[in-house]
Amino acid sequence: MRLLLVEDEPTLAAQIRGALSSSEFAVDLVGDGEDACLLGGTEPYDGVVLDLGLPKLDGLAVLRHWRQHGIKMPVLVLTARADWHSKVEGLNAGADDYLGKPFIMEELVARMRALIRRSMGFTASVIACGPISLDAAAGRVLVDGSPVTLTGREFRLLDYLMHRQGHIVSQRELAEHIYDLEDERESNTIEVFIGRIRRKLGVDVIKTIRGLGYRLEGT
Amino acid sequence: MTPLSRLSLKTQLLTGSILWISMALLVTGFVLASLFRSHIERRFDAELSTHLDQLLAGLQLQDKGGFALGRPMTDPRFDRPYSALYWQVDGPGGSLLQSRSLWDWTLALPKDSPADGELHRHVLPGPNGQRLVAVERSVTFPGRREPVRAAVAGDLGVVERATSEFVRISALALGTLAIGLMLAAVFLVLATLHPLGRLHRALALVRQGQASRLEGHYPSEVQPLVNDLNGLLAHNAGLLGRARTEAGNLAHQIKTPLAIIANAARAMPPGGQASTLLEQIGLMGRRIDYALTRARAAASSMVLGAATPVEPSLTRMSAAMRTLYGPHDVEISVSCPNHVVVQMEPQDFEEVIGNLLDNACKWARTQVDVTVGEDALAVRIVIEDDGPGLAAAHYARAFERGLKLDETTPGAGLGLSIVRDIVDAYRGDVRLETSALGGLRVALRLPSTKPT
Repeated sequence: MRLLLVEDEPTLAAQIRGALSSSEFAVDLVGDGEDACLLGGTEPYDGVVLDLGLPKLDGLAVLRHWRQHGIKMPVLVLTARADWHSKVEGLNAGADDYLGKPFIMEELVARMRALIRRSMGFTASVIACGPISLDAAAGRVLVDGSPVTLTGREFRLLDYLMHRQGHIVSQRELAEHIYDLEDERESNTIEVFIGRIRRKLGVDVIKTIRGLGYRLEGT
Repeated sequence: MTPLSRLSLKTQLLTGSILWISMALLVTGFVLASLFRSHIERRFDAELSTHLDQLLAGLQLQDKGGFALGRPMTDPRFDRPYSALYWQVDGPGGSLLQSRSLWDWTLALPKDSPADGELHRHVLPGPNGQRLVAVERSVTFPGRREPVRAAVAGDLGVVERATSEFVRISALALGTLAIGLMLAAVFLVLATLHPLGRLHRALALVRQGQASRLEGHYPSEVQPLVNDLNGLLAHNAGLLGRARTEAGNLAHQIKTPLAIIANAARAMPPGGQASTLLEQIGLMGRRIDYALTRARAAASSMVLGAATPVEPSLTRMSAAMRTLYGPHDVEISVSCPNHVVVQMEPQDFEEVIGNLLDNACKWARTQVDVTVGEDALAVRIVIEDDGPGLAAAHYARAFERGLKLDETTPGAGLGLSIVRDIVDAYRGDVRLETSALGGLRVALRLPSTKPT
């Protein structure tokens, strides 16, 4: 899953980015409202962590701009203003959830995950597909009840496929959702990762749709 | 009894002017009538004494010691019976001379003995029930020992009739004048008070939040008041706006570093001071929110023109709650009549409703009901849920600061106490009860913008 983090305070930004990365999110960081507006409108993010107090363009204005242009990814708003008037203003501007500072980092990560799950149509925190179940919060993958160890990249890839199960996902789409802007992207790495995941899972759930991409199927 | 100064200006002015006009005209009427009457009486007496002079001048001594009227009286009324004008001469030894008009009546002159030439005035009974005024003189003719008493009398009814006719006509005239003056007074009072009525309506608009200042031009006596009030309103609004911006900046400037410290503390090895740090950081964050909210509510609670339309606000709040709690988990139904307006700043109203709705949604199984009603004094809002509710014994403690009865659900724990603080600042009332749905029922009474 790939997130946009919009935070102008560098220390806090580094902390949040660190926490999200170690939870296997690909994270792009921007420090002002104009960059956020632009990047959020062009890159296919799965979610956004948006601080409201931003230089150049206010966070609420960024949010309204996105929603007016039909950009629907879930947005978690981060703000120092904990009063309900501000919360309601943020939620009605298009925010999906709201977190007041100071916050507990685990809560931010958990809420972001829940928002992404909800936006993709899942309600339970553990996503299952056939014999495979993936608990993103715990970073755990089980096949028929026994744990499988995946690397970070492998986990990100399977996480995305699990959320998109039943749909055809192209290599390009996969790359867009597991790498951030600064990652090196090599043309054949996705194929390599898919091969490793298939071997580790030991069950044939990832189908190759020739010329189009991959599809995760439970049966 | 209402003190006079508490009555409306209109009542005071109208009552005062009507009383004064009536009294002044009544007194004028009495004075005029009595002046007229005494004038008529003097004229009447003067006429009688002229007749008396003529009578005396015409009296002639006769050889046998008697008297006779040498020349007849000129006024024909002396010859017409009971004509209301009479004369009589009482001679010595009971001899009597009378005008023809007296006919069979004799003037009963009182038994006084006026000095020679002195004019006496009497009121006597006359024929046909008339009341007569008589003027009388005693004259002793040369060579005679005993005087003669000569009297001329006229009917007092003439004076009475003239007076009452005058009173009738002047009452009519003064009455017409009174009606004219009173109409003028009513017109003046209403015209003078008209700007105050406009001011009252302009103020009502401000109170209901439909205007931010008093509009319109007023007479020079009222305009300074309007200008000062507008200045005060603008000053208040400016202060409030600046205070809010400052509060927001302060929150941002303190809480962002707090968030950084909290995150750094969590990165510390477990078992050290990290948990103490985190606990205190959380407390600081909540106390900042609490203090800012309280300060804002205290500052804005009595500001003129604070007004929040309830229905749109509740619609926005419940839409926000549906986003937070997911569209399918909890059904929030709002029943609110249009045009209900609470006399509260939107931020404060939404802080109250937000905390209560958030609590209700947190605990509800499937349903949260919001019902709004309004009576003459207040707006009543009831928020209830079908959750597990709260034991009645905990109702009082639920509002205590810092106490969190729902330790298992994340929350500031200051929600209900901030609700109570804001509601108190606006002189409202909040009460916890058991809902018919099974859960908690929170009954709010908030100030209405209806003019009191």
